[in-house]
Amino acid sequence: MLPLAGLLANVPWTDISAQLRTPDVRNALYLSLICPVGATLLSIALGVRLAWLLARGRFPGRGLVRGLVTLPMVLPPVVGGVALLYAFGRGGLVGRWGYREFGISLPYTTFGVMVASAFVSMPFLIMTVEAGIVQTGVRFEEAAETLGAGRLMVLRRITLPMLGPSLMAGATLCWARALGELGATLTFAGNLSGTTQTTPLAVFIALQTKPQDAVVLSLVLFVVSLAVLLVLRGRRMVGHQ
Amino acid sequence: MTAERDGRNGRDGGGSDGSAAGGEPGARLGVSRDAFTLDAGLAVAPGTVVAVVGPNGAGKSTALRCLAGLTRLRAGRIELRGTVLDDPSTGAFIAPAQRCVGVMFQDYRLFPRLSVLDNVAFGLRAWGQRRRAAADTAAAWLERVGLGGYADARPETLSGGQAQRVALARALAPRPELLLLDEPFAALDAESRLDLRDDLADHLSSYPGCTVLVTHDPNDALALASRIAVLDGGRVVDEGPTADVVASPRSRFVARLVGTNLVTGQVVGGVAHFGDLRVPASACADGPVLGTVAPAALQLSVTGPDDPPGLSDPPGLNSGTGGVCRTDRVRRVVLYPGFVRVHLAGEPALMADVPIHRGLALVPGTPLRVTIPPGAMVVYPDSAARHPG
Amino acid sequence: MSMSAASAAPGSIVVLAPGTLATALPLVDKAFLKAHPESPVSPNFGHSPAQVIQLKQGSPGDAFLAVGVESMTQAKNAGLLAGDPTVFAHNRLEIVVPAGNSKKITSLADLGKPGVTTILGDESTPVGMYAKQALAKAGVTVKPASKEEGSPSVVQRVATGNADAGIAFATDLKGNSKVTGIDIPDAEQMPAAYSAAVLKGAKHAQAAREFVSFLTTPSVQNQLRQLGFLIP
Repeated sequence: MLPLAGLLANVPWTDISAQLRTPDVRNALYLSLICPVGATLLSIALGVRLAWLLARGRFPGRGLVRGLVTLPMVLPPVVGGVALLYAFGRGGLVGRWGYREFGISLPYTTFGVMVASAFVSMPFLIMTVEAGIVQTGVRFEEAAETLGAGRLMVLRRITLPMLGPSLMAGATLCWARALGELGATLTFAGNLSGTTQTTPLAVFIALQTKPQDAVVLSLVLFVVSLAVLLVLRGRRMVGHQ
Repeated sequence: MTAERDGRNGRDGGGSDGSAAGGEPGARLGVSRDAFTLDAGLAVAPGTVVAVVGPNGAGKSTALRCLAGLTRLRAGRIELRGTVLDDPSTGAFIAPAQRCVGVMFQDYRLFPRLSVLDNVAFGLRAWGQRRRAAADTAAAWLERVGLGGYADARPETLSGGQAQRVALARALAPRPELLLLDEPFAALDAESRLDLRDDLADHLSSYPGCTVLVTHDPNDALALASRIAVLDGGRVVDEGPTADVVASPRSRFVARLVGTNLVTGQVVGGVAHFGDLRVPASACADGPVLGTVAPAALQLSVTGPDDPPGLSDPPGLNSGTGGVCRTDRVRRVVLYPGFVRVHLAGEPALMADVPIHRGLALVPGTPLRVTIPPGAMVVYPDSAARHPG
Repeated sequence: MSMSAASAAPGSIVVLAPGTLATALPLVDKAFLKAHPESPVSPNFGHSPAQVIQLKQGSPGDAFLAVGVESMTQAKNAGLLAGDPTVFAHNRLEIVVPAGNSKKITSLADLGKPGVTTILGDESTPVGMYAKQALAKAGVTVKPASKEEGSPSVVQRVATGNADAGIAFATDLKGNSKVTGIDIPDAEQMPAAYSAAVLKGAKHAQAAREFVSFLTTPSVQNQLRQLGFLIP
């Protein structure tokens, strides 16, 4: 709590609205609105199936795959960014081919920010969803099968709805991690206001010379995180009644 | 291992010789999973309930999962009304969803995110009924199990007994040909058990299909099943009409469950030898026999401290009206409501039930005389002993 | 707002220095320690403008090494310095391109061409500030793909093949075989002066003074020249 108090004590309350209206700040906030959401959607698209495989799949090397999946959680994000650069950068393993054949390249693009954030935040989604799948087990799916439900009906009426809470929790964690993402984004996607400079990047850069901007942006980030957490907590409490 | 389909001499009511003739579904199960092997023959006639009883780990639940199709057979064959559901020798396998089988799981497994009505309607929808029709049928089923007012309730708000009835309605609603009940009362407290057992018996009596009930409680089997198969160590060790199996238990498991003494011995020249007990058994041919005697039938008399045990009356056959006697000692005394069960130290070990006022005087080590009144012990051939498995 | 509290061994001189000296300073420190075994140097690297802000907020330090006259002037005006600063080296901006220079870049004007991915430093960093001024001098408008937080990052972008060109300090290209430097003519050049001064709040004022004057000794100057710095 003390660091937060320090932050609040330094907020220039009088010209906060003027600060928030500068283009750089607005760009950063806008990107922080869309990039974590994009990263979360990306993580759901790629991560849920992987979580399923980890929870239910029986294949050699499953432990290794799980280890690799969790790696970005412990890897310093900057290192993750470097790894992404060597994979998807213009000179990277995959990126080289994409750039040569289609002229597309991920660095310096907003989508690149989403990829970098997804790389760092997807493990949170995968781990949560996997735990949810394991915890739910096959009990209800078996029951549905004995009642005559085919694969599709089991998936639609039993599996996916049961997955809901863990998916929600996983997506929230994923989004929160993506919101705060700095290292991998800076390294992989670069830093340009309006394209790749999300709020944490803007804070990081502004801290060097314009601490007041940094404080204002930090405050916004803090308020948004708090609001989201409160909303989710409220939902959970309603759900438990 | 082969299927033990010998039945009991004179015990079979006929028609359950393991063949699926006459539209009777027959099931032969053979499952092996890791260190566990199950080899069981089962035949269930339509409209009847067969109880599969046995200690934990005997393979009961595995047998049930095989019937449901949730676990595949490694050997054996499952047939329902002439349709092969599972036969590894031919590769035939019908998936659970395609089987006309209803399962009531031990933990009920009501879908937590669906209402009670939707739970019951689930199977009907799965089998292709329209939403409205399925809802109507499900509502009727809820009415039938006395839960008409709970259609919109969530499963987690139900009591154990209510959940059990919803699970039953859900399993029966699609009108399965085979109903599987896995420990239907295990999740309930002792008090609600009795009421629900009667309820379940009512519902089963109006159910035209076959029912297989898996339970470790012989009282469930007695109340609900017309036939019992006793499973132990993955094998059927006893099978037959409920009354017969209970009256003359073939396995220690059943004997213990129905609370009777079971002893094994040999008949030689019309006399059954059970350890140091000699009991007249003129009706039996020479060979291995089993003997049962109800604990309440045994008579105990405390011998004096000067009476050296084992000397006052040599163990043996007493052909008079006094029955069979032997001297013994108290090993352990257990108090029950209304009586005291005295476990005796002699060989073969017997237990005797005595009224509380007499039993309380007994402590471990108390020497006493045991009398088995004439006719109290039933002796019958041990057919299983001829097929050591 | 202090970002880096100096964690130095007791008795060591805390030197605030720009990131471009990250290679050079340890060598200088080693030589200084040989001459003054009682005064080890603990360098604190950061952007000069940021370090001025930190000093204003009360960050401790004995000596301040800055790139760019602006930062040093700010420090002086804020009354942070004990005595006048000494210029001990210069750096030049260079256009950095990948080895092979596939886009055939020869001048600052080429950086504004469409299809050329250019990386600059953020204006909050010396390299970004000077590059902006140099481009203004040359009358070139560049839309950078990214604004990096320092000259080494700019070089790194180009070295990994993720950019066609960038503007960085010449010393950061030195010894990197994956990039080539292209000279910017003096007319468009923004020579960056490295200056050093003793701080008013110095705990080891005497040792700090000796360190600052050590920077202009011939042997240190020679070392800096070898690393690509221009010597006055």
